[in-house]
Amino acid sequence: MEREKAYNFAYLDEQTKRMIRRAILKAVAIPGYQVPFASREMPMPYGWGTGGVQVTASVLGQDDVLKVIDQGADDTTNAVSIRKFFKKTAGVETTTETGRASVIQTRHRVPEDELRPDQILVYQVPIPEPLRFLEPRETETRTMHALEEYGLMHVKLYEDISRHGHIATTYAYPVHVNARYMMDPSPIPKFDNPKLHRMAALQLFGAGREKRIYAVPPHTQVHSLDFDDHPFEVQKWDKACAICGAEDSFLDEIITDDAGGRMFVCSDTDYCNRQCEGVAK
Amino acid sequence: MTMETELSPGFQEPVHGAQQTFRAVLDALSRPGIPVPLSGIEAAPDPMGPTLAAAALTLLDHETGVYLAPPLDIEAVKRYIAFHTGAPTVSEPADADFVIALADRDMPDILQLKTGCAEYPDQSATVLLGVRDFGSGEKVLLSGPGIAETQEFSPGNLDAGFWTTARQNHARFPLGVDFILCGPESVAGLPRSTSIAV
Repeated sequence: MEREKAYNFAYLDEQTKRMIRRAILKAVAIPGYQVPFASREMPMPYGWGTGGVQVTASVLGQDDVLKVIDQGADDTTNAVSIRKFFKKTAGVETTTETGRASVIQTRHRVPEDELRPDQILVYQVPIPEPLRFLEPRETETRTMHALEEYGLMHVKLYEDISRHGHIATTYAYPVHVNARYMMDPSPIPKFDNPKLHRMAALQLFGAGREKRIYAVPPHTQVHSLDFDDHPFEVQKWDKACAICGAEDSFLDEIITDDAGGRMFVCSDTDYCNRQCEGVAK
Repeated sequence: MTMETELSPGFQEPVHGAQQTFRAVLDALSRPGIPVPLSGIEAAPDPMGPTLAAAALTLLDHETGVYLAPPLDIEAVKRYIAFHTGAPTVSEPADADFVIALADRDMPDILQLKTGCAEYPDQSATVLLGVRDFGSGEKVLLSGPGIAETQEFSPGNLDAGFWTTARQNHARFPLGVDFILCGPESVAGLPRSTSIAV
């Protein structure tokens, strides 16, 4: 598709891209540390992935193939509109196939397929600071990161255990990156946390409203916080996907009627489609 | 009055040239010690190589103070950087956001450069370092983020004391400076997070 020539390539002006690119390089050099950046107004509201869009716009090139997912699906409003945005402003090829994409922007999921070294995963992040709901002051959380003072988060997880008998945090589950910075992996289900650990692809995180960029370089240690007697665990289902039959994927619960009927299906639509094709063969 | 010497051109296509260079630099810094091919700017003024010039034009602008280490502190290079990036030159390395240097020539003391502070370790300098090649130097073993196990690295013509300094730089993590090594046809990254075994 021919790109809209009224805009610079990938919408952002070159000066903005340079500023964001410098922030991305710092983020890669200090894994898990939140780099402040001069986030721009984008032609979409905050909360729709403006941070991810700015990161994607700064890394994207003519030859890239872009995939955008929202909760694992390629065909939801957010994913469709961001894909169309880059088709229009950058003229890049887009895809829904995880394996074909060179840049994948995601909201709240990590694809089920193992990513390769030549792929970049860009996360949309609403609240980048994992300690924010425990300590509202930015000056304080900055100091806590500087001193590596993360006891408060362990207390929070401990209170989970004392109240519920297990760690009840199920998404945006805090991680420790490269044994230094505590990081919010964005609101992905904790099911996806193990995929971050030593992933072959570069992972970039953009928070537009909060004006922060952070990163996890390839092969980097990402440890989900836990206790010796309460090790980190991911969600499990006693059902398989109702469409493709997969038993190893993250399932969404779908209400099918008003009489309590429900089904569980893969949240990753591309993975589900390919499982179906595999079954058909 | 003498005629001004002609100004060398920058990227043939500034938008895509900068994007391709950035991706090479990003790839390099994400996987320390693995050279990433980069064509660079052939017309770069001597003694700046094509990749060093491309990295500079990609990352510098009016917001970044740059220190040009000798022998790059010549009029041709200053004008080239000023015209294509608008970056102000600083006379003290300690004030620079970017240091552009050649490996075996008057490199400023790395440990005196901006390292950032405990709350903002990102407010640190980046060193764009021109090297002869990525195979002829002392062999070191890198490990850390971006490296699966270990990575051999042997960039040519570095100062004898470079690796000692680089290890001291890593010891200050998360403070410190990051290196982008620019060879004749490729770039390699050495972020502060990389640990170095000599």
